[in-house]
Amino acid sequence: MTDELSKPVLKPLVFSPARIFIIASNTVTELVRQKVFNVLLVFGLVIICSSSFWSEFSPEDQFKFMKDFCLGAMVVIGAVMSVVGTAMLLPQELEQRTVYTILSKPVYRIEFLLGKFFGQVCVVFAGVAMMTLVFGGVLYFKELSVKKQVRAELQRAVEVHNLKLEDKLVSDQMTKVENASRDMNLVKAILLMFVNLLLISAITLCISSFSNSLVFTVVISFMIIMIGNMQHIAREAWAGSMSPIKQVFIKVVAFVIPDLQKFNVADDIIVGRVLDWGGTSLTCGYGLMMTLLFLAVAWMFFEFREV
Amino acid sequence: MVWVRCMRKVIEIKNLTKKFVLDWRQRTMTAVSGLDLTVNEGEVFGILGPNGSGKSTTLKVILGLVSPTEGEVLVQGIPAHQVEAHRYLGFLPENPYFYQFLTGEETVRFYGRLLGMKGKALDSRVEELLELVGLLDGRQKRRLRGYSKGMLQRIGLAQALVNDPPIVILDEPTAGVDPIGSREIRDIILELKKRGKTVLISSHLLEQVQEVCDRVCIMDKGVKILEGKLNELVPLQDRVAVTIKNLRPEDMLAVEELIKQRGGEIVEKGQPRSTLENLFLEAVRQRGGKDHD
Amino acid sequence: MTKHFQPRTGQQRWCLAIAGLVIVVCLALKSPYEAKVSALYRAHKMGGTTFASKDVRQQVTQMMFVAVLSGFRGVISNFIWISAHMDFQQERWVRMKEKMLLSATLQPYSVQYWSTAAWHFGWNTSYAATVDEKLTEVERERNRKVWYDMAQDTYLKGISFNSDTYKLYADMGHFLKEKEKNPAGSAKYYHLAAKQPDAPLFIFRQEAYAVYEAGDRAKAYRMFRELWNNPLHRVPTISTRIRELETELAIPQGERLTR
Repeated sequence: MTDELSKPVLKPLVFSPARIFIIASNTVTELVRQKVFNVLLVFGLVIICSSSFWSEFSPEDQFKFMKDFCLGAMVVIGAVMSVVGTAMLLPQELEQRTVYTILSKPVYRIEFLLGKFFGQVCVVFAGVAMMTLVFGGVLYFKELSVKKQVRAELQRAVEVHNLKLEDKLVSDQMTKVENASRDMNLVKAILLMFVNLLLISAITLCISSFSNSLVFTVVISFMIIMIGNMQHIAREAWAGSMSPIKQVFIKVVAFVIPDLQKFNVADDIIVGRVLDWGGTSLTCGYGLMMTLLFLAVAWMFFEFREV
Repeated sequence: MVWVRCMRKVIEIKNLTKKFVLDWRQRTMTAVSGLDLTVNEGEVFGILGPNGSGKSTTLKVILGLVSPTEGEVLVQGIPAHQVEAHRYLGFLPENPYFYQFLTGEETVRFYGRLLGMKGKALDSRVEELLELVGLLDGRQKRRLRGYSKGMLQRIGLAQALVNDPPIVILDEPTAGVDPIGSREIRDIILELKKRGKTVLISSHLLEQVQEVCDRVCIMDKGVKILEGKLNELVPLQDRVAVTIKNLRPEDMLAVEELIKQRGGEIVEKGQPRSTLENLFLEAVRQRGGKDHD
Repeated sequence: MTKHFQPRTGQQRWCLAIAGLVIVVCLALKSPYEAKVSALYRAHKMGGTTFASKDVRQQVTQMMFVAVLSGFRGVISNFIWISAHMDFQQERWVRMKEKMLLSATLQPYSVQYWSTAAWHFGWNTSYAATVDEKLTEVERERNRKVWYDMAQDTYLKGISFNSDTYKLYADMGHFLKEKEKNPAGSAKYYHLAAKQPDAPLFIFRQEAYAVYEAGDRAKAYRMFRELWNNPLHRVPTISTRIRELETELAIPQGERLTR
């Protein structure tokens, strides 16, 4: 033993994805056992409300309402999960003293940071996936019930006018309902929503890497999300008459804060606009690049942080 | 003294100063100043001091969690801030809680995996450690949430030892643990020493350290006041202490009279105290006096 | 802070170099990348335009405006639409109109909103105006005209955002034919509708019927014959019209529809 110690010749410690995976999976276990998925019950409430009422509206309106409300709820729930969950990662580690035990082992700080981040992101992804499945299922049942309703109305109209119900008429109406309900482009909207949440998580992690207060982290993160959503409007609105101060302000904001409105394509897709896969992946690329940027900043702060 | 020099130095602290920046105006607080310290292989070393004396900061610098403002800290000859140095260290933080929703076994297993252990080797290591800290009795299957302070401390010891590191650093290992629990922790520390580990303990509970440490260093307000081997520092060869029970005051006078008659001198009289505590208070008092001068 | 930010080990120096490089590259690429995505969205007609317009800002509350800007445009326009529907049920026509137009303006690419709003103006509110007993005959007629104009304006505004889809052209054609009794105008819009890639088959027939009603019998005959070539268009109405026109236009026996 003395011999081994007297000559500490060891292989250099290399960056290890395995350690990131171990920390990430531990984070997932911890979060799941803390029952974070209970937040999703809120989504259940929204989906029940948005799918049960409005039968006096046209089928198109009904499906539009349901999609808008459900995707809106998914964004809100996802954002809360991402910001609050990520903001709590480091303070919790500090409070439990686990950060000391992990960082005093041969683990690079970037491995720890990425492990926590990916664990959190996995949980958000699972949350979004669950909400998507429930949403898809309820949409399908809504379609069935609307079809039944339309069929009954047709039957009544036919009886009133003493006509024969033609198959062609019925199938046309059914196709119309299906067109209003089914739209695979929604998957792209949800994918971009997830990339948005990934980026939001990275922004929050970046702030919590130097912040000492949970409240500060959460408030600043939500502020950045707001600015990120609105900056293009400010640019548009002030484009004509810009005072030098506004100009500088806009330039600074545009230089560091990502344009989060780019990920909000759900509104347009629900009203029937189409974004092809090329465009979707272009925007995904933008989100991933911005995520990388904020992770790099977070790493820099965390590497030098005195824990 | 000669054989001490033969021992290898496993932790070397040279002129360590650590200042924390308090606010944007760059005001600083000095946690440790000009500390020189050496810990040798195989010994149990205690850093003692009241709260806020700089013990924890010193340990954090050794662990690379905090970087020194001045000076140098080497672990096995490697600068403490390099992650490579962590391979030789096991650490039990002060008041650990760990992942509350994991069971004791899962916690130790997690740290083992983090250190690259897997399969059969990990299984047997986890079992061995749980046995060592006395939790292999069904309690290892419970979530840490329901653990008592003493049980958390044992899990903390188990995770610190998971990769069998040559140096084990324990920050206040017995703080908040009941007497029986702290006795058991003390036994574990002695067991570690027997296995050839170097153990570095920080504590403000002096008696407990006294029982296990080979050498101690006393710190106050970030400065080292005393350092040395316990048996050199504590016993005073020409003195004897007697603790008497149920003595009436008039008999006490008679005893004092007898001591005087036989040429003895009473240096101190009062309620019994542990010797190390004595020493500690004296050292702090002397320093305080100097400060006031 | 600066003092504490100095790298003390080689590892930290490496970290600083790698992270710094990533940050610089990402920041440098940010603006051009955003411009590329923006151009793509403009090409796909995504991202509503009119949100910053003054009339929208004046009509919604501060909270709603913030929500609209933060990506809940669809949700807010739905709420406004639902409340417009309540106004419809309680026959508060002017309020209904304003809310419907606001809803449509918030999501200008929603064909459905323009179409439904204009249909309400053309069929419901204009009819309500003609039976309003509080008004004189002249006033009723004037109000009906106002609502008809409103319907047309709404169709045209909708078309200005959705010129690549058949629905609003067809609706406009339908409105001109049924309400304005203007088959020539109707034919023009059915023609535009039929030129859109998503136009269903019946639009082509509607165009031909409108041309027929507008009085251009020769053109109508040519269109009906062309439609007849496609077996999917062989409906009884078309064959009846063709036979009528063959007699009326005195088409030579050999060129007539054989069946």
